[in-house]
Amino acid sequence: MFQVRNRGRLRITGFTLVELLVVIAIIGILIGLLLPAVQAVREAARRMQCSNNLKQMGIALHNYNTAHKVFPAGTRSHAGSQWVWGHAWGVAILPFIEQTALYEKFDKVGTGSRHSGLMHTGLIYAGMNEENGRLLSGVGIPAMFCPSSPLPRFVLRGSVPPGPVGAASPMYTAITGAIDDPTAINKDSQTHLHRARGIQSQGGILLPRRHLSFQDIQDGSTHTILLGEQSDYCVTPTGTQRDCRSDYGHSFAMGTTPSDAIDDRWFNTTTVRYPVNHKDWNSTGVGEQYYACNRPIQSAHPGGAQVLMGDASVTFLNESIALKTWFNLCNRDDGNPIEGL
Amino acid sequence: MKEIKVGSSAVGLFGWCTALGFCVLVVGCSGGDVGHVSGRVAVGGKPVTKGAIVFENPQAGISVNAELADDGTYTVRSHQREGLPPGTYQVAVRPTAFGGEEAPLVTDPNAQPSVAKSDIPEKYQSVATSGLTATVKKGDNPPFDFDLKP
Repeated sequence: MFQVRNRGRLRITGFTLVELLVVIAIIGILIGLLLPAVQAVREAARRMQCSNNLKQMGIALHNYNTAHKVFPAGTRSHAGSQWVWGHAWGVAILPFIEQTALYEKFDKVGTGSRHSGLMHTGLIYAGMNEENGRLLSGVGIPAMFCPSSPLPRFVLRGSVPPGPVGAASPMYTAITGAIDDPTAINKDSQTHLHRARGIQSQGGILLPRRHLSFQDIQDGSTHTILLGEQSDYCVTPTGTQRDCRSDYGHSFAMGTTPSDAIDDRWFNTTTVRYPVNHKDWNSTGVGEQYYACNRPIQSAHPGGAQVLMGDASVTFLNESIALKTWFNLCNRDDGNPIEGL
Repeated sequence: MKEIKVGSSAVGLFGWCTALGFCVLVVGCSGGDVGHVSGRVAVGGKPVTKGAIVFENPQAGISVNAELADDGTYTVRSHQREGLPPGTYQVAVRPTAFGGEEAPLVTDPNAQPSVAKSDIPEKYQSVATSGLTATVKKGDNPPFDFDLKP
């Protein structure tokens, strides 16, 4: 500031334009420095909540194990039925994530209709469970949503149950194993009379139609993955975003059929085939026209994705993790327990 | 006068630094360690107009599909890169186009899903049986043309 002596009186004349511009520029630069930091902190907080959700489900799966002596099936059908779509692990853990009322009301045996997990009536298909559709309409189960995710929280929106609000679609999926497990079945080829495209493996813990206990996890529960994140879009070569979660737009409740050679689709589970954070829609078993078995574990967090281990701990896996290590973590009985993650 | 000169040279220096930094950034981001892959698929000399070609390398966790154009040509790319990392790939040709919306759940339990009719012999439809390979080098590659025996 200038102090000008004018006719003997001291007077403050104010700032010049250049001074003001300099000050504004400095403030601008400082804000510019600060903003990315603030965004990073916000994402870190969201990631923490995302990881806490996984932890909640880990505790729920362990409480299920304590109550039933086994883990829930990753995806299941009802016993004894000919051709029905059952429900998935997300329904089995409801009583253990403060959703007992919902679990009690959920029709798990397909009374009055043939299916339990299949509930929308948008397709010409007999025996869909409209009651379950109405029950789950608009019910948001907080633990199933990752706040970092840009994906829609509700799917199956339509005029039929579950209605215009839809049913919850989880941002976490069960891992049935990795493709290098001896149980892996190659169904890539279109010549197979099978609707599933990709490779299906049963080397994990949350398997289709099977309940495993701790003693089945030979590599140790600390070294085997239960659930993984699917919280971002996949991208086509032209840059179009596609929802590539393993519920295939059928909500967290959708399960599988009794074992069937033609249409063995395991909803809400995936077989790990690609690196962590792989988002290429045009990969085999990812963006398939029919059911795709190998939807990747990927997240909206920079640099990797979170997984839930068998001991209910949550680990952030870097996307540069070696493919072999990643596969070993997904298989429970490969004899390669991975230490020090 | 002297002060103005100093100011302008400072601006000039800042400008040059910015330009240099930008150049480094652009050079750093372009290129990458990929090989460009394109070519043409035919059966007995006749171009395959419908379907997709698969390049698979299980060790690297890659199984990329590229759709065939009306003249049987294709270019392999993903959303991140224009091509494939160098290496040897197993190749197969799929008769139906890749992608699209999720097919509806089966309506009739006893119905068999229809298998698309195609000129592509069955053995070429799976990487396990096709016997086709492609060795991709970094940068530009000669076209990977596959003329399948009918």
